[in-house]
Amino acid sequence: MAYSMKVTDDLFENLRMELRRGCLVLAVLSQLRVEHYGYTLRKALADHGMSIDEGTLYPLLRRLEAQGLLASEWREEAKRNKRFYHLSPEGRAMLAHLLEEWNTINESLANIFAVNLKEA
Amino acid sequence: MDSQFSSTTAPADDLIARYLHAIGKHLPASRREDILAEISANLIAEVEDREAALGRALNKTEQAELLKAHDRPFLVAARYRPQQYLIGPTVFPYYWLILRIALVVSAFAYFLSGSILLGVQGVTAAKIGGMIARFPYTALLNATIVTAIFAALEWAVSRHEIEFPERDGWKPEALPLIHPSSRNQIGVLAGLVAHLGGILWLAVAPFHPYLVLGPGAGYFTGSPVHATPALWAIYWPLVGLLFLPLLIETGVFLHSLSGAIPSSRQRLLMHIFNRSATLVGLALALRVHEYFTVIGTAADQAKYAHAVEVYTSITVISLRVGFAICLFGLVWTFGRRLFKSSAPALSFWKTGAQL
Repeated sequence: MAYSMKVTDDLFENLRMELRRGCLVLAVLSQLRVEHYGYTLRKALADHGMSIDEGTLYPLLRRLEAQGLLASEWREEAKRNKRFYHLSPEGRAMLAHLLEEWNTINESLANIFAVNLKEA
Repeated sequence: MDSQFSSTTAPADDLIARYLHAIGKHLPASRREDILAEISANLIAEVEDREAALGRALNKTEQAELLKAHDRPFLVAARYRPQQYLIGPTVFPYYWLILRIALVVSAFAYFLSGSILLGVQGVTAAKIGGMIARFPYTALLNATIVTAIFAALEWAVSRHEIEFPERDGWKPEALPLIHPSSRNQIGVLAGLVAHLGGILWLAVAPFHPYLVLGPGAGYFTGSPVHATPALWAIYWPLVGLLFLPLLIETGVFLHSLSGAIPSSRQRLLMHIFNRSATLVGLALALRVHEYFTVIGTAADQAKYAHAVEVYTSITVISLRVGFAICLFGLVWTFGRRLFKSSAPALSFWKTGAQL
């Protein structure tokens, strides 16, 4: 019984991470409508209930920058050099598209849930 | 962009500096300084946050806990590399398919060439054992080459963002038809292995009579009774003839790896070809007039004449029985095919009778 519960918990954790991973880019782009550096971005996302570990977030920021969706610059703040990220013009356009897509998906899911609830 | 924890300025035992140094060893050289500076800046911010909350500096244990949550240095560095797989999920199905085909083809080529070499150099149990023992090395080498090729393909695809494969690069119309009665691949492979085993047995048996006669082979040791040159002249070509059906069955098996099941017509033709090849071989063997002879003195000739007659009778009877069984099998196959094709007509008459 304990083994099957652990298997279910592990499965849930894997599926949960998969679900969150799918939303990550949208969450990061959305949060970067305001300028952040790596640590403050992670804190801001965590404050909104989207905890991401550093090993995933920081390489993602570089990838999005390489794809032209973010721009970054080194600046001194509180006597320390930090790399600040913000949305590029292409990033803003992409965010708008992704939000549209997100709303479409949300509507579809809401319909599916409503239908399934009726059938249940 | 010197950080507080730069490995060049921090004390040698500083835990965070050591962590950053360890990450740096695994980062690509061209981006190492930039990535380390960013990781360092974020790490410092986190440490300062914690220290502000505690109202004091972090001790070594607390630093270690913080770093442990960030994961192992080489894993942190690996996430900054563009390619995360040796062979990724897009390329992997092709790799797996090609690997299986390559291993089967290389196994067939290896054992075929090995058998021919044994036939030329002489067959011994030790040589056969050596050939089989060396096969895993050959298989591993082939698998390594295929893996290296597909790892290079993965590198090219991920680095150059190539769409692999082309989305419209296949035709549904070219998919093979499904036939109701189809042999599964394991059955075909088992048949192949049995066929190859049979050929190997026929190749080795003349030199090791115990494979045919068991313990009774001891009686032949030192005996003057030998196979005639006429029998040897036909024996090896007959063994070679058996490779033809093996080649066809191997081709069918390889084709089935792509999902194509041989049609009933194709299987019938294969069956007819196999039986016919066997019938031709047996017919040629039956044309040999003398199978065994005594090589020795006149006394040996007189002593073993009856034994030669017995061996010859057994051989001829075996060949005739084999020929009859093979011929019967061929006729049976034709008869069944004929019956099946006329079955719809029979069921029509049955229905007519009920009305």
